[in-house]
Amino acid sequence: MDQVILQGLNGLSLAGILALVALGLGVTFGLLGVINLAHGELFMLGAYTVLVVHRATGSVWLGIALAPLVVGAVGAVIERVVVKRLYGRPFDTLLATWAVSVVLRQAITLWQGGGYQPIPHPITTSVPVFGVQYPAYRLALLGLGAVCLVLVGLLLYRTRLGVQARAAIQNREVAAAMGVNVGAVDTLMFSLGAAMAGLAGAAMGPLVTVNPSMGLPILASSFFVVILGGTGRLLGVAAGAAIIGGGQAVASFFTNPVVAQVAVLLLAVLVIRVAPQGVFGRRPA
Amino acid sequence: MEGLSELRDEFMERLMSRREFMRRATALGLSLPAAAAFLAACQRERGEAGGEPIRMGALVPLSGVTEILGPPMRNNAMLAVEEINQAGGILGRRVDLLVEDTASDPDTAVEKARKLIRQDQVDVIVGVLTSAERWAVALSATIPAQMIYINPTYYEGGICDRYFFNVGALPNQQIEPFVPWLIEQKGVRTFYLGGSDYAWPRGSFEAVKRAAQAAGGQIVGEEYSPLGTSDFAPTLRRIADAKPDVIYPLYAGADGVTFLNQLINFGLHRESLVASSALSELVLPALPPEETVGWLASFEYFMSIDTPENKDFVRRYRERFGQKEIMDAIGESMYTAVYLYARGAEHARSLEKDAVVDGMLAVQFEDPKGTIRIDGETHCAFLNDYVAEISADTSLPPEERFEIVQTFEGIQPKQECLEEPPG
Repeated sequence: MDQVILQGLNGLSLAGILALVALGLGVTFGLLGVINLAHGELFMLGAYTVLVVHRATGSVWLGIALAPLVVGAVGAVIERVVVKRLYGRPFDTLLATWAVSVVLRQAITLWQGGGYQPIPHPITTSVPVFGVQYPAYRLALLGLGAVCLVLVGLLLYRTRLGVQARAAIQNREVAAAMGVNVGAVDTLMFSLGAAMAGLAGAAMGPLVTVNPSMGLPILASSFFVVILGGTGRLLGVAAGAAIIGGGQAVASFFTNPVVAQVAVLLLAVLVIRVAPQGVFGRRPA
Repeated sequence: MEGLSELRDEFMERLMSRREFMRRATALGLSLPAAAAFLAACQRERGEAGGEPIRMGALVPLSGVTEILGPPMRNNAMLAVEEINQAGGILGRRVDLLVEDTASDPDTAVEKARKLIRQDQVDVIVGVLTSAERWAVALSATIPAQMIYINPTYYEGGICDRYFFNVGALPNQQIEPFVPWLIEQKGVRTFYLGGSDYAWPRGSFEAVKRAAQAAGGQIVGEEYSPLGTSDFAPTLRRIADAKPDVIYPLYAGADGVTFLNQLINFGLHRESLVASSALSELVLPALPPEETVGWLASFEYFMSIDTPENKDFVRRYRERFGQKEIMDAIGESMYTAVYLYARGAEHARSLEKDAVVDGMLAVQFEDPKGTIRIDGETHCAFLNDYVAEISADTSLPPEERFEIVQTFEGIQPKQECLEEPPG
């Protein structure tokens, strides 16, 4: 039993972060109808923000704090310059954001080089969990993921901005007629999605390989979470992340990593077959 | 320098005569017969001594999951070709290097190899990084075309063909000396093996198991993860439970750094020794310096090899590509691969394919990693194996922290021929 809980913890600590990336993707897709293929690169920019800030000031924490702001700003620019002109043209946005991803990757390669970069571990201590030493940083990640999910939930469901954003999704014209500045809401939401990816990249940086193409595998798995959980609801994304992250960790412990990956993929295929809208997705009206 | 200007003059002269020919042909208005005559003239030129340059194709990963390993490979091939051309080329002919990106993908690698063979009509192909690419290129492109193909990467072995050569380490040159050395010198007994799920880690771990068991060691765990894994926690948990003396990771590309970063985060390096035949100059800079002290690596080449030849080589490399540039054993072996072809052709005094193959089997030359000669049976190089321990001096640049603690000299390559990749 202890082992199951430990493995669940393993899965959830990174699932929290995965949820953060997927939530950003879910916000831009669910709210704006934009499939953002540059989302992985925003994750990568978060890690590079920590790298650069740490080099300049010696503080990893400052980098992690600044990352969502920096990447959120980059997201706002991308929305204003590229995505804004392409709303309602999903295939064009697909192509355009893919181009943005290539530009961002190459820009970072030119600026910082293509090599693997080091980010020091901000917490190196371990704490006992069920008599086993467990890295404190992973527990911090779990907490960070949960706090962010709650904050985003509050933002979308308990604030005026959230109401406006949800109104704009349901009917742009009517929302605009009611006095909602739809353009500003779009930019803010896209920027919010980018900021979440940036924060996730910053927090994950010390545990993965920091290089310009680090966003690619993350993009794939967060698309998965979004598809599995459904795009409309926050709870769906969280559930999707828990199933993918937690399921993989638990299955991986009882079998081996290769079988676990196959099992989780199969599970996802089954879920999509049975519930095409995702586990918690909205049924089409 | 004199030879170079002569070469240039000759080149210009031929260019002029070709242009004049074209002008006359067009002036005469005899388009078809003239074109045929022109082509025939070109054909004749191709056969002349000191004529057409030698074409060398280099397949390197410049994008995709292993892209970080590509630039040192390309740079080393470029450096060798430039040095050869500066010294007058091979048998008086200039060498043209054609670099192609494999995108770290076997299908793309095969496609590019076929393009080099059919369209560019190269004389020799060097390169590729992963075993998946290597087997695909050898079985689907170079062996059917009887193209000379020289592999630079240490790999699990098994490809046997008259036209296939290998200057990277085989398991018996990198793992078989290293594992017993660990058991005897470091007093370790139990090993945990973790690697990416494909031919190279699987084939290499077979060698680790054999070597460990023969020397009285014991394997307490062996497992594989898919390429592109971002969370190694389940594997690390199992390693923590198994409490091995040695953790021996063979994860490819970025996965290697991710695994080691998470291993450090779990604190397992304080319980077990980390030793690997994949811990290179490109991986170490991405890890926290104070955590890696005492880790062990085994390769046929390190930038820190303390010989005048190597020091001079590193100096030339950095003068050409930048003072902070680093490379790993695979990168350096591209330099060896280019020189093997050049020395082979010079020894044969011919560019005819089979003569060059015999030449390559007969030559012996000095390389930054030691003396190179080819074993007639396996077509692989005799190599030194260097064991390096990561120095406690964290103020050194990462590539200088590989302190060579043991050298095994001139190990004969040994492998079993396979029809298809292992695993």
